[in-house]
Amino acid sequence: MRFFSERFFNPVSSRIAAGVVGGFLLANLLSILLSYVVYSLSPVAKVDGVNVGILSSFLIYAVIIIWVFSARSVRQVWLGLLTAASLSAVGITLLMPENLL
Amino acid sequence: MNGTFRQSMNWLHTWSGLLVGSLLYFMFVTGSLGYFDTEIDRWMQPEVVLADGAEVSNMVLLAEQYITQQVANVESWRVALPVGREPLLTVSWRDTQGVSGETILNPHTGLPVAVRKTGGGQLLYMMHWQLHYLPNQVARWLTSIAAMFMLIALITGIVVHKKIFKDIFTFRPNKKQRSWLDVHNIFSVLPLPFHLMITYSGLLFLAGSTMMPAIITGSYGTDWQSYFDERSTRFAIVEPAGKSAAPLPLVTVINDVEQRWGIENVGRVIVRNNGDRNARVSFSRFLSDDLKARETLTYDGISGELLHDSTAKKPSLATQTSTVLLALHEGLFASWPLRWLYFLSGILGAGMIATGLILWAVKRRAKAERLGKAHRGLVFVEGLNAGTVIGLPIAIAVYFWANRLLAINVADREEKEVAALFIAWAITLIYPMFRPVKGAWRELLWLAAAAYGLLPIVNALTTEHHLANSLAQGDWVMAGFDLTALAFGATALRAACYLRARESRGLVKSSGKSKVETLVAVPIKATAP
Repeated sequence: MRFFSERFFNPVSSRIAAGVVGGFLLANLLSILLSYVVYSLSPVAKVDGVNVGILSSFLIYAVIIIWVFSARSVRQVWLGLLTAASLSAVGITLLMPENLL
Repeated sequence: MNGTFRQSMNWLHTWSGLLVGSLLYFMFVTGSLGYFDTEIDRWMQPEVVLADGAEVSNMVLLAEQYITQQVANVESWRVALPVGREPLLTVSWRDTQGVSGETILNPHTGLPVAVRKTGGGQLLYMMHWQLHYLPNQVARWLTSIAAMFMLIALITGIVVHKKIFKDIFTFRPNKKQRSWLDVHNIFSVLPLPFHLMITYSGLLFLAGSTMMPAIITGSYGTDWQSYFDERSTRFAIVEPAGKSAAPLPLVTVINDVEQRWGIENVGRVIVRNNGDRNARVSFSRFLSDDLKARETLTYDGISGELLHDSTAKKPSLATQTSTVLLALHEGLFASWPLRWLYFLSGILGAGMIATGLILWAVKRRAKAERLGKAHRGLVFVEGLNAGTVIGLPIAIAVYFWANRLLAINVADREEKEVAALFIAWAITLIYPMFRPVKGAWRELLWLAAAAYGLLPIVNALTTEHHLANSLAQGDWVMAGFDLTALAFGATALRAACYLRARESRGLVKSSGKSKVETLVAVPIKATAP
């Protein structure tokens, strides 16, 4: 029990998991949402919206990672990630192009 | 984390850098060499006959003649022409059975030239992201992750600075850890725009195919082809009609290209669906003064009618942005001075990573000396650093040696060259694990000095392109390679001598029993006549 609690679930490994995995998933969600916003709410072509999403994705990912490692508590990190992910999931569902799947 | 923002960023910078440092160093070194890929190709295939004023249109016709007379059932074929930096006239093809082939032609006679088999500079360049001996997708993931760590290390590295501008001009020599930090800062801050550009654009290369495919899937589902079609200014590929037709001789099309563009800049000619009614012929050029991707004219291969001009459709801003970023990464447009600047910036990037790794070890070594015992991890990183920073360049020199020393007709020659590279690197990685740190660095530096310093001599003994000859002929590609090898050898020699001198000074120092004595001993020695 001690092994699990201190080796793998200490604040540092929790933040690494949050930054690398959580950050990756959130960066993907936000980039997809960004591409939808760009081409549904402006006259830009679909392909360009997608390119805007790709161009920004790594910057978004990097900002998330830096936030994860600078936030005050691990609790705050996971709550923040979950909130942002849920909100962007809602946005994606609303703006998703029809006949996609 | 616990502590200030700057402290947590410092932590992130240190550990993300250390974790993938060796892989990033490998990517920076092989990537920097990639800016001279065709020049290294040329050095590694000294048998090649240079184009020297051969006419482009004539070379295309010679290639066409070779294809029609020497190869049966050609389904598609392409010619790479010796324009710009490209030294070779290469014709490659795929037949109706799906078997492909490639031959280098003499640009004046159109006859095949017998050249040694080699991975050349292309192989070093491709290792930059494909690594070697690994499945493609695994290698792409590894390099993507390393590049993402690099981005994090760069951003956090900027954040932890208090006075970034002052750091460019700060160097305090002979202060151990302080000196390493200063060098690390200079290598990082001076070419910082290059580091940021190269890292971000490198990530974009891998975005769609590896790391962020969900963004494309989110809008196109499984229909990725439409994404590429909408994005591209190129002509969509046409399926063969299945009915044969006599192909139009290329000379007719060449005349049309000549009128529109002039033929001198054309670097690629591609014929698809050869001998079919839907045959397509395309001529492409790269413009060296422009950041655009290649421009292409596509013709009907039977009637000779111009079907598509890629310059007619202007790509949108977002597409242009990514095209420009990718072009910046590859430096395709770069003239000679700019190409050298690219190379040097890349080497500085490798230096930034190397000094970062060394700094990590030096910091902890100082602490270990105070405590009287070194952590296993520290000893391992110290060995890994020497074997990476000096070992990899030695291994690349061994690759060049193997190119000259392996028998010309040995089977799988190119694979044996690469094997020599990786065996040499494995040895230089293992060797420092059994030596004291300082000794390992010095001995590997001697070896690097010999490996690069003697390379022009090996070249002189095995080919006719030795330095005196290539300088006399004004053959700057061959001469440039030899001179660069000499410069690398001289640098390694200088570093080895410096380490030896410091070592012998250090012996005087460490003979003293206490810190006080050491401090006193140095000024006394310095003032002695």
